[in-house]
Amino acid sequence: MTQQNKPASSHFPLYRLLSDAPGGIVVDLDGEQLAAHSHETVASLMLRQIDPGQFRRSAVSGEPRAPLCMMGVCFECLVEIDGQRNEQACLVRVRSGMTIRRQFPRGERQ
Amino acid sequence: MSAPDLLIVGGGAAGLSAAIIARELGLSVELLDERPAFGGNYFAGAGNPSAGRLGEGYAQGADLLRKANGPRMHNGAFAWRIEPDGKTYFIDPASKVGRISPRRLLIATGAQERPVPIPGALLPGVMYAGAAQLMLKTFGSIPAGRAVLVGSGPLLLLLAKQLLGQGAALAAMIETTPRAGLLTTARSLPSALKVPALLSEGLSFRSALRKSSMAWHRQASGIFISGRDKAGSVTFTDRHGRRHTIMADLILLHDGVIPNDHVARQLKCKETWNPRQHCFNTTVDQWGETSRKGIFAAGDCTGIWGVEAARRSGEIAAIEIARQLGFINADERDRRAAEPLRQRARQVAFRPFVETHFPPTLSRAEFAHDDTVICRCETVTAGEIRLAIRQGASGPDQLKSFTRCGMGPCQGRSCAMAVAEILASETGQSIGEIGRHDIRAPLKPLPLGQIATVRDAVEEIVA
Ligand code: FES
Repeated sequence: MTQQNKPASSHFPLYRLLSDAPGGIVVDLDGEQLAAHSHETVASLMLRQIDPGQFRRSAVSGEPRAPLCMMGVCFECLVEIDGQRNEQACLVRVRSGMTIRRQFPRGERQ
Repeated sequence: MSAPDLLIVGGGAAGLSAAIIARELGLSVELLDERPAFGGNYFAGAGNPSAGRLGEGYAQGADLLRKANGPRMHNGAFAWRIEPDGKTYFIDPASKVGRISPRRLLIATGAQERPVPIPGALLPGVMYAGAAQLMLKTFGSIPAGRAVLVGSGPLLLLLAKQLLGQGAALAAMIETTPRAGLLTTARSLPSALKVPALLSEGLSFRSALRKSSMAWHRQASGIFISGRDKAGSVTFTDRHGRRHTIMADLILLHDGVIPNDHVARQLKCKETWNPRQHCFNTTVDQWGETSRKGIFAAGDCTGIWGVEAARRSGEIAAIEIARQLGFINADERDRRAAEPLRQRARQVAFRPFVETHFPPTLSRAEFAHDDTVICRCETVTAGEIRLAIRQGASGPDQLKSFTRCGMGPCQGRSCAMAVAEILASETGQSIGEIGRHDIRAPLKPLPLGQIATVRDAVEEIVA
């Protein structure tokens, strides 16, 4: 058995943008104002802003889940957008003033 | 309600190609795509500011998008119910229901990743390779921490090359591709040589990757992912029998792609099991017409033939639809379809090489441990499915009511193949005989009750 590298870092978005041009769109994610680029989806923005362990929890098992496919197939990216629950974050483009709420079954926040 | 000559469901390579030709031939065309931008998986991001980063394919994609651009092309519009006469209900980005009654319907819903049910695959930080490719192509984003690629297939090699080229930190590639049986590869080689460009492209990935510093393990097996609230490492056995554990922030799985065929299944179009592709193929004639008259299907949603074949299939379907509707006669159809038919045949000839070289391995659920989750939505394990089979559930529909497997929001998009594989190994029947559970409208959960137009549509259907 070999072990390579050090343990993975503890709090870390999974992705980063290649360009550092600032995004011109501002959305509200659970009370926090985030700048986004106009072609981004809610899921792509969240994946480069928050820790994947805090994306959502399954309503069935309570386990943490996060986007898997980014193409509308897996339904692991569900969030509340402008009051509408269970939206597929990977299929919805960001809009200025959009409110995004993560879904945790018992109202808990990580 | 609009009544175009042709309604296309899906705005990727096949759907856009069909739209261009159909309009050229004088048809009125409407197109629904659930994504916020056209291009499907292959040409994703072709219309974006970050496009061009990925080279030549992009120019093609941008060109396709430009030509297909026109009125009545809907983004963010999801077709959730289609009737046998083609009448389609969709929901738009503002959650309003619309109806379209086309004279002909073309399904062009593309491919999805082949689901990979392995231990730990539910953890955040595990994604499909196709997702990382979409992050790069569509959004100009790359993995921020250490990424590991696990599985098999040309896309995995291509993605490694693309991500390394953009400066991503790839800790390792863990390939599960079996050692190519020399005989089978030799048998498929003559047909593959008809498209040497594709072949040499594939070989060039490998040599580029060999030059990188990324660790590369081949013929890996016994793969599982560990972590508490998210993935932290992947463990596997290498081809010499040694166990390894590699720490990673992002674990990208891939075991090929399968048709995204929910629409055809909801319409109960005839399908056949394709053992070489290890997936179901929607049955279509050479023009793309399904077992339901007037309903066509083109591109990877009918079987995995690749992007060039998808474009040609879209064109061929549009040409035949134009003939059926009297825009052109049969001679004109044959004249126009000759070249795309020839080009498609060349592409299809290449597939046996890919199919024998990259058979699905990582995803095969008949080998899944009892505690591995098969249905992600309802958290149903392989053991629960096997138990239900022993207790008398004899097919996918019964298993669904016994275990809830396939009842969640994804409606079995993640588990239907795995369920069929487990059923086949438990009962000794073939997957082709077993089939998959019935798909009913709506094709995804609708915001019922909250929205008046949805309520009206449902009442109209029930009435
Ligand atoms: S990430 Fe799979 S449906 Fe959104």
